[in-house]
Amino acid sequence: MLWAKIWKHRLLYLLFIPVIVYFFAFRYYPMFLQVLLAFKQYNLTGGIWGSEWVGWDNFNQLLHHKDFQRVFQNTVEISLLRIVFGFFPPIILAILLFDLASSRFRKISQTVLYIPHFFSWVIVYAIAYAMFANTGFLNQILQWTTGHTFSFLTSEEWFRTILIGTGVWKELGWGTIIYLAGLTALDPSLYEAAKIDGAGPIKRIIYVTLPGIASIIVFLFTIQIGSILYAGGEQVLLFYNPATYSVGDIIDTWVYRQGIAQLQYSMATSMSLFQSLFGLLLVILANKAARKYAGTGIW
Amino acid sequence: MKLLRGERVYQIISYVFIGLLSLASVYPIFYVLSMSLVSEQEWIQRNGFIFIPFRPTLLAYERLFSGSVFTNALKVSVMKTVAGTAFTLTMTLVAAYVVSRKQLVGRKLFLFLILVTILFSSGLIPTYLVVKDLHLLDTFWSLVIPGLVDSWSLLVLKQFFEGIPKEIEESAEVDGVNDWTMMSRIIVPMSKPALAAIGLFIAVSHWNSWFDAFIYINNPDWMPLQLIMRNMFANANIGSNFNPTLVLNPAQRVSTESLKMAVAVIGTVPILLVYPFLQKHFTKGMYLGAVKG
Repeated sequence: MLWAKIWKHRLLYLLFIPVIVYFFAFRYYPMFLQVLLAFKQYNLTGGIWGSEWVGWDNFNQLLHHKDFQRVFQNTVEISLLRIVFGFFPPIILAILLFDLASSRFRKISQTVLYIPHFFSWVIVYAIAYAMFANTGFLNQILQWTTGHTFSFLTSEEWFRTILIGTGVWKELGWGTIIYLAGLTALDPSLYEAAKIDGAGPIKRIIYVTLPGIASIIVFLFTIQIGSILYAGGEQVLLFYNPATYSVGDIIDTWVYRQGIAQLQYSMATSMSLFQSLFGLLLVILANKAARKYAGTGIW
Repeated sequence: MKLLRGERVYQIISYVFIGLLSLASVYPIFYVLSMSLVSEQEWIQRNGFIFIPFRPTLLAYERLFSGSVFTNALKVSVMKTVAGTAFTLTMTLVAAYVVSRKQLVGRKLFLFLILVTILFSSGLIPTYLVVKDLHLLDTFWSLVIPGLVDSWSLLVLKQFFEGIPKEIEESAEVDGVNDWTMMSRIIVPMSKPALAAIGLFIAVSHWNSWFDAFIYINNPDWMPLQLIMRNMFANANIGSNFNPTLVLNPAQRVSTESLKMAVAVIGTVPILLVYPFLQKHFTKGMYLGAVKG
């Protein structure tokens, strides 16, 4: 009976074979290698299978590595800054957009605000370069008003401002989509009732709008907390340079430099494994907290 | 109806704020465009501050297209986007179709296998080693194969397939339609808008990606546009190769800054071209994905 069922849909299984092969070769096998590598001392001649088991040595070395504390701290700090400056503004913007009286103006500004999301990080860097480089927009204004320029892109003090600012610039508009979807699902009669009761815009936002999207906010916030050790490696890799490593080097970029550039595969992999296990733990904890205090979670 | 005072103030503040934000979203791109449209002479005369070019010139673009480095990178980017989108969309479509068949034995297991890959990353180094061991480093296929199935798109498509009314499938089954006909003649044609949207998203991310090439490609012949652009910003010397040494007249030369900006403009154009189509689709697609989580 079971066989007959399977045989009937043999074509579907046949079509699924390449998908399975792909998942095993490029997702599951690397996942497995990750664990092996983290507990072995990779040597270039023997490959993974010819390398020796070293137990927890890699993790021990990692925790005592001179970069560890700096990299860990930078990662958490940059993530927290991204949450503070990147998580809440889309909520506010979505509410303002939703409340706009003119739907024409809303549509036009939405169209414009979503564009930066589709630019690659390299393009975003190009734009940041046009704005902040020594010959860039901002420095030309500085030159004109104060008579001297400032090297923003190699400055430790400015690195995070520029990194997070451009990140917010790219994703602010796009981030409103999910909230706008939630808001359009709200019952319009609640709005009318609030108006009749004489509630001003601020009261209306606090008592009607925000509660309406609270579950989406909690859901997204939980995910953000869970990914705190992923601070946007692709962007940092483009924006940082040796002058700003002290404030910009994060786990992802460190793993890239240790692993791909310096061939320290085992060390780099133990850092990745630490990152994903710690991340998993955070997701579970954040979900528990969300369930307890907000009544909803991811699962 | 006359708006109350508080409501009016709120509206005015919103207009101003959103207007300014919209301006900030697009103005930098115009500045980049302006910078790409000047000769070295104008660049020096105006000290690099180019609100609007006084004597706009396409010199930077001519220089870029006259050398093989740039045209080759453009070719790689186009190939990667076309081939990558075709393969990824096909694989993702098939996978989504299979896991959307409720009666299929093993469906839950397949779905579980896919969900795990969303939760656990496979890690940069191990993935790199797999690509290396398969001898894909420095080949075109290293830019296509590692991203062959997109799990997020897969789930969105699966959701879409499951939303197709059962009656249609049931009546086809009564007619004795087999799996292949069901998929290719009934489900896929009905999902054209969803497939177009997902295809566009995959295409945009292929066009935009640079990190895969950054780690897998050392041979300049296989470097896509985004990586060449990244290298131009990271390494000042690359841009200077584009000026023929014999041309000394600054009006006929182009500054490296303008060259960089011209590359950025060319990297942006395809995105802006497909944006209207994207926009038509993403509100629907994203809302669907957002609501279902």
